Amino acid sequence: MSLDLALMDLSEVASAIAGGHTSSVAVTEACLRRIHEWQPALNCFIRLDEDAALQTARERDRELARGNRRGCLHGVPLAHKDLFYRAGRISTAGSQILRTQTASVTATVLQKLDDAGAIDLGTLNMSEFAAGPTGHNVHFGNCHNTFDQDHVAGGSSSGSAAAVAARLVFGALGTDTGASIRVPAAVNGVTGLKPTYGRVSRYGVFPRSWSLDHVGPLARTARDCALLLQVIAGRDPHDSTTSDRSLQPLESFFDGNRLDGLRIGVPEDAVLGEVHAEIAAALSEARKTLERLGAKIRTVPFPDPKPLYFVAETLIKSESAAIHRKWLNTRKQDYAAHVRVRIEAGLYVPATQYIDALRLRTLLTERFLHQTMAEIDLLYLPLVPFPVPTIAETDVEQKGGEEVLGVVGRMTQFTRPINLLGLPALSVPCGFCSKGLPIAFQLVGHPFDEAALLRAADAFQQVTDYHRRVPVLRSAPAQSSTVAR
Amino acid sequence: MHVAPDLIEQIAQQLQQIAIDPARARELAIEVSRLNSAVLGAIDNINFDDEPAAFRALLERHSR
Repeated sequence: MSLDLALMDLSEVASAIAGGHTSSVAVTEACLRRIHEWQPALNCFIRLDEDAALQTARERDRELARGNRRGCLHGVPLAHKDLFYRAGRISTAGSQILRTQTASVTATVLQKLDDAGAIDLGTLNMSEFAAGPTGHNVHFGNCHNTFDQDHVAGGSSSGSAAAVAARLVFGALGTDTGASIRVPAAVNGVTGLKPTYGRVSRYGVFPRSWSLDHVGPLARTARDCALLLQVIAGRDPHDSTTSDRSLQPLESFFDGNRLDGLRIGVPEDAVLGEVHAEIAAALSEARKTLERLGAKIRTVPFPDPKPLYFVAETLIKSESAAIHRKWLNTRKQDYAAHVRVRIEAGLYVPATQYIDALRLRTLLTERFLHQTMAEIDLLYLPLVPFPVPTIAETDVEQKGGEEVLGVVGRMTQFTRPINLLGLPALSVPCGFCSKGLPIAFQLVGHPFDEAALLRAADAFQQVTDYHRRVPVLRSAPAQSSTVAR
Repeated sequence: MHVAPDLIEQIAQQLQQIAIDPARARELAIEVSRLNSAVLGAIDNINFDDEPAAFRALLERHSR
């Protein structure tokens, strides 16, 4: 029975707790049992706050017995990427440098989740300093794919995706600067939302690049992502980039299972030319499903992604170099080499070029909205354009070389440009490759129209079951767990 | 646009006060050249009064 509780969706378990059909303690214990079972194989937790979580769960149950329900996440166990600060707790950002660094403030998004009644089970593994799309980490150990532990979990929110996919938590927050919610969500078969830039506060979150960082949820379904977005979205006086634009009420997101009238754009074939045959077949099938649901599919022009990619690179490297400059000089040896080389070039980009990259961002986004998005509601894109690679195939630290770098670089070719544009984007599971690893498509929306993304994904998930496939623990522990308690 | 490894070494030493070995300076010169060229190749499309903060306003203006 307890195991079944952990297999429920976030929305279901929140309703079950609220309705008195189960308790927060029972649900938390179910999650903890699965964590102990899976952690040695996945290495998705950096820190597990077991006693504190159970204590909070007991308190939530007492509150509910008194008729006090804090909010829509009352009593629901979650855990988050280890770069969201909680005052008094260590937040490592997956790094050696911050391994003992205690946060002095609490991230706005964690405070909002607390206020909604959620339980925080601990912190999740990630790529060092959120740099890298594979989930390799030399300091805390690599995070492993839930469907096959020889394969990558994706990054940088590796632990967030793996923990949600293995049904260890009901949802998790991640951050996305070039791929870091969508790629791990895609390769683990969960749903991952990068909201519009400005929709969710970044206050109290260790930065990768202030201009391109987005905070968002990973969960098993679009509905669960919507529920988490409702809680974390909104203006924050601590983050001047946040918008006071309100979200539509949750109920209006999901007002039916049809997509009649929805206009979905698909890029010309040339853009998709390098997509692996197995991925292309799954994307084609998913597109047909969306059409059967009533969506109108049309071909749209898609710009040369190179300028988008390089302008984004200029911003990431310049801002990262500013963040890390002191440590690059004084603690160079404490970085993984593959992480340090992702940052260093920013030290040599002239300030004028950095500012021009910021100015070009507006121009490129305006063009994209006019040329690609003007006649459509959503854009349909690949996510990872080839089957999920193995950890060995993508080990830049151990192997390096052009071939490895090429594979790693191509993992983000369809995601990084979207961060520059600041548009909302969603990773949606849509199949499995011949080796049994997940495949996903990506939907991109208009600014602040997360509702359209989530509604389309929900309709898709009502008639498909790719997001329902529960991974099976197949192997002996892949490595020793490094989890702290 | 070619960036010379010497320039990278000089910026490291004089502007950033960071030690760098020549081999790494050569790699960085290639990378910085690529980024620099991408931005310089596009700046004819922007005007003197295009300011960085316009991006957030654009998202708000095009919101749904």
